[in-house]
Amino acid sequence: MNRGMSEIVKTISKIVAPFIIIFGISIVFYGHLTPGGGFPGGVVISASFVLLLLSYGKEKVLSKLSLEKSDILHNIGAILFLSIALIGFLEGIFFLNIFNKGKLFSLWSGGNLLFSNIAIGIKIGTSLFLGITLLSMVRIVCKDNKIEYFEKKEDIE
Amino acid sequence: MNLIISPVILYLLSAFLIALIWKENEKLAGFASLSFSILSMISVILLGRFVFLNERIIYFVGGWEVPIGITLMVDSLSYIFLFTLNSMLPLICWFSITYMKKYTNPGLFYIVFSLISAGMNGILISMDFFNIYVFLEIASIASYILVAFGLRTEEIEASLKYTILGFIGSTLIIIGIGLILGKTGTLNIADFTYIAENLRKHQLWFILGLFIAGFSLKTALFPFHFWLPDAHSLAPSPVSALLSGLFIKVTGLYPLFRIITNIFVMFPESKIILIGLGLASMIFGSFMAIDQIDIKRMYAYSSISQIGYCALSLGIGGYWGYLGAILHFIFHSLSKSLLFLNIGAIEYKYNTTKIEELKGLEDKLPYVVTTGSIGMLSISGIPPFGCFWSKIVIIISAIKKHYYGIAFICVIISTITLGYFLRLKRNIFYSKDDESKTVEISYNLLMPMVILSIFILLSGLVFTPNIKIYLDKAVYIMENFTYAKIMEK
Repeated sequence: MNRGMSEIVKTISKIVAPFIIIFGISIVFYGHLTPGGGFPGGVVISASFVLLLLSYGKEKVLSKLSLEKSDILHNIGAILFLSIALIGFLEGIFFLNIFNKGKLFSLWSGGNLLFSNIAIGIKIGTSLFLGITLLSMVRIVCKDNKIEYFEKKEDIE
Repeated sequence: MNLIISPVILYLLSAFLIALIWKENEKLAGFASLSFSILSMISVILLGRFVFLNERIIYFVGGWEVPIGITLMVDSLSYIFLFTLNSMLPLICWFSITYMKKYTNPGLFYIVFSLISAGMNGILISMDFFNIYVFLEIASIASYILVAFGLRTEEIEASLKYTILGFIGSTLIIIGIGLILGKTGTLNIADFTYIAENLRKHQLWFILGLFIAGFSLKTALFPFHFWLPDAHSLAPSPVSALLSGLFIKVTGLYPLFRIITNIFVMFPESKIILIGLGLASMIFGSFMAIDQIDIKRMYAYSSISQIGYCALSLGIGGYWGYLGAILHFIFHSLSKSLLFLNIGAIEYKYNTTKIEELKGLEDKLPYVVTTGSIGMLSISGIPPFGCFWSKIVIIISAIKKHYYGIAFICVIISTITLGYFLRLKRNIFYSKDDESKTVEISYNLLMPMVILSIFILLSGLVFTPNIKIYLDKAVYIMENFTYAKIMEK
């Protein structure tokens, strides 16, 4: 069965999706120098997966990034962010920026900001993807005061 | 002073670690949550010595000074809230290890439980309007999830109602915070209070009004109470204990304490609003509780009524008023959590919370009946249990300020409270039933209730005289401290 949208949409989104991911990663990495940061970058990264989800259907996307993997990744992102904050305890204060600050306007110039942005990027990218995919997968039907969950459209009736 | 921030760190760490392990091992998830909450309780107990030695501890996150960075502060007032919160969270967690087995995915509960605890701890330590809002949202969104945890239709409906009204409250608060930022250019409470002394009054009145409305919606004072009976009666019982005993007080009442007494000190008239709201919710809550057929719903209306006492006492003010508000917060937290855990244990055995379906529990569950009676007598203000002392302090405060009518209403409402609890006791505890065999009850369900009821039993006679020196320090802060003093140093 031919799932998903038309051939034109599939081809274009196949070409565009890797570029969107790279654009998102660049927003994450240059968050402390240009507008952006972990959150917007993560949203852009997850948007590329959502684009594939819309054009190809869920099987193709889940073969690239499975639900279990993104579930683990978004928790690891949160723990990473917390541990970056905890590194400050080495010199006594929570969230203290103890790294070498580097040269102004170069990539290595914000101390722990770069790592924080990466952690937030992982967290937001995967958790937003997880949320949208779950919403698209499950249909919730309320019938006769009972709530039922369906994974396929055909099962409802 | 890294101990200040340790409860928030520990609970956040516990939330994300449990999220990694709960699918493999649900038992371990419960024990991890319990051990993290005990660790945070220990850290708060260790913090106490420093707070009472130094009057207040101010912590700069990341080493940034006052107007720039995030500032945390714990003084004796917030320490009392912090201590009550953190000493009760392990008990509720202990209770839910057995209780949550009723549900399909108990591991998920501990994640959300840790998040709501992190949020509530965060509200108590932050000295920054926006941080208070962020932690308020963490706690609130976690509470919307917890209310709908059973996924029955009614629970989802209650949670939806709660979510919409909760977001209205949060929106009112964030509009107030936005106006503060626009007016003064700062979000730090100390900095704002320092600048606000020179601002025009009618603009500040509007901000104060938004804050009072928003936080009363979170506290469920009378005209803003619609979500509470549904949400608190349909949630799982440990969650009801958490929400009714701690959540509404920490997210609503504590910010109101601070706003009325320490931040907007230039408007002593605002206390009259609180007296009105408090009286209305006292009267409304107790009259609605009389006629309920569902026990948890009755407890929920009783919460509205008792929260009214706190707001009233805060509005009356003065030494006795503030003392009464703090005492009633502590004792009502203990008693109402005990009652909800109690009904949770009954619900775990009999799967019902309707009054007419439960009979003769005295013979079946003797320990549950004893602890439940202690909780009920405490809330209705019978000596020597906890709430008697707080209620009598509130009545004294009203008489000292010559509000004789208010003192009379306090006594009447307390009698009505006793009335509906006695009706409940007669119907479910001491009525005759054909079948009267003692039912086994799990140790995990029983022990938290026993510990809570021992605390309530001893509170009036043993604890109140001994902790009075600490309560006096908190009352001193409510009477004399304004955040602006931090900037003057």
